[in-house]
Amino acid sequence: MQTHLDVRHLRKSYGTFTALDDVSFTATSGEIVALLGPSGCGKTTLLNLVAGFLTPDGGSVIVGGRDIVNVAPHKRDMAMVFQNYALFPHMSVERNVAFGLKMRSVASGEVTKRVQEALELVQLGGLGKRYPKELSGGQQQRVALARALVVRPSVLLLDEPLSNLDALLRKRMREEMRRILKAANITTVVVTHDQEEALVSADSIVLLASGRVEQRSTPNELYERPSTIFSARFMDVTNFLDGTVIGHEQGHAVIDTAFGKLRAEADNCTIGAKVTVAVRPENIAKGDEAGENHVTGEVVSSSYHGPVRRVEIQANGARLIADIPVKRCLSKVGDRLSVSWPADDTRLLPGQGYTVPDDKNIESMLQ
Amino acid sequence: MKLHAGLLLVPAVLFYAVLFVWPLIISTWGSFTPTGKLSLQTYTQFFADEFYRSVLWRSLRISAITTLMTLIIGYPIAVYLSQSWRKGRSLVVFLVIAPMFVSAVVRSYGWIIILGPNGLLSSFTKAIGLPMGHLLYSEAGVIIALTHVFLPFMVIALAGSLQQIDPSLARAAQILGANRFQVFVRVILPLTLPGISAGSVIVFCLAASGFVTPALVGGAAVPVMPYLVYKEGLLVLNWPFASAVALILLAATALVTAIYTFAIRDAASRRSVVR
Repeated sequence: MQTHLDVRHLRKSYGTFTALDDVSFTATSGEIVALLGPSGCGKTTLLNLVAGFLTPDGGSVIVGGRDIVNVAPHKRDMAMVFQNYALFPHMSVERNVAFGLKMRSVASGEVTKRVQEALELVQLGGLGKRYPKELSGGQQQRVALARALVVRPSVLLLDEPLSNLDALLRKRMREEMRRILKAANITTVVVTHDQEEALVSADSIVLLASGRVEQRSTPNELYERPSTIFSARFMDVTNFLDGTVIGHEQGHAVIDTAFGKLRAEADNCTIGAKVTVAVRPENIAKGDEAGENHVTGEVVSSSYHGPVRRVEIQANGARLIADIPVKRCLSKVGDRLSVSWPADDTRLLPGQGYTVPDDKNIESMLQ
Repeated sequence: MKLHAGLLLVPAVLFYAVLFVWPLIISTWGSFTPTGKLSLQTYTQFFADEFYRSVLWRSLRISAITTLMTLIIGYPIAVYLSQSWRKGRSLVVFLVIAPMFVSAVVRSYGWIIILGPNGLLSSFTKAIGLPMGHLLYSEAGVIIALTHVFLPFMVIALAGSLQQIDPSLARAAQILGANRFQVFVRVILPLTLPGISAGSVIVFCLAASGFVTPALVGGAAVPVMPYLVYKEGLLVLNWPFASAVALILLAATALVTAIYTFAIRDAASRRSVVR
């Protein structure tokens, strides 16, 4: 597949604050790329640089082989869906959707036809005469999407497109949005802070942290094989243990940790290296049969999470969080509990120094 | 105890009844009974006389041009003020509002000094070799002075409606292919029509009823309706005729602003209909 959008070495500072520091990513034709990260990571700045609302301090934005970094937004042949939709309140739905076509001097017969097609694509066929304020949030979101899609932009930009919808509608819309974007085969850059939204709707994810690209990969790889502590934490890994690689056995690395010897996937691994062992709570099961790694400890907390019970086990001064299916879990605080998990579900991450996120940290991750 | 919401308006209603409605009724009655009997004499006298008609026409013309001037000068200022990232906004607000801190008389004398025969303006035009005489006691001078006085009202009305516009609307239009001019004409301007309407009505009414500025800057050479009311009522002591002039001005102002407001509302709604 040919690269359609090529963002190279973008830098942007505001005074002494560096919003983006040498950020690069690419999108092939028709690909949906998610810019994911906590608030303040620079993802919105990055989107505004691609749109042309901001001028970078350095770097280039190349679309279809042409550097457009000095081209004004209205000449970039892009379209954007804004977080608050930014529908023109004085125009009907039809005129909102027709706006970009009129700006492109499309003939009026063609405008009517394409507006109708776009509204039907987002299942709003009968609402063309309504005004934005007469529509629900979900309908407004679809109008915004139709208004952007109808111009067949060379790049479509979505700024937190679903964040103003309630949770149920958001879940439905992110799949529908992906279906629509794929059907239209439009190269899309979507900014989101919601990792689930990124996993569901994107072909590839650029994870940003403090103005830098932390990891760039497919949703599957980012979820299964996060490459840094930040990536893993953003992808819902909650267990991090400092350890030292002490050897190899049957294709696995052996690491010495507070819980004794643990086995993990063998990449990132030199003997003697200081590493962090990462494991997801849902990969940990009750009993000894689930895998090569075993921990027995005292249950220090236990809370109900619907399908699972989240228990926290303490042993040798370290803690481990496990999600155990409710039916299998009768443990109370103070009980002793044995758990186990497979070496293949255990990641080794470079470096140490994972700290339990404090409230401020958690807040900024949830933003 | 349930307090009727209408009670909240009692002080205002009393105030208006005593100081506005009652005098208005007396004036109206007086204008129709110049000799103690009901007649249209004062009104026919007004409209039969070329001079009086010209005064009405001048009042409306001066007010309309003043409104247009404040709109043209005020809109860019309001745009500047609505851009929150601009530094120096508070200084501009101060400069715009400053004329309101000064009494109308003092301000008008300021204009007399500037516009007068040996004033700043005529000295300057003489100095650059383009002598244009002076503007004191001329309609242009009155319009300049009125524009200065009423500009703040227009700016405040426009800035209010500009500030209500979501900044992402301009960006949305831009990324869809609209240049700056198209963003303004198709998005910003239609959304500020209510502000334009409100500002224009305020400035037009104030300009039409203003007395001090036209009297001092224009004097007897530029008679306007309020000046006529003053002259007939307080100098000639022809109260019925003065009342008639006041009511004619009131009716004319109401008519003009009604037509104007309706036209703008019509433009706003026509823009919203799909063509």
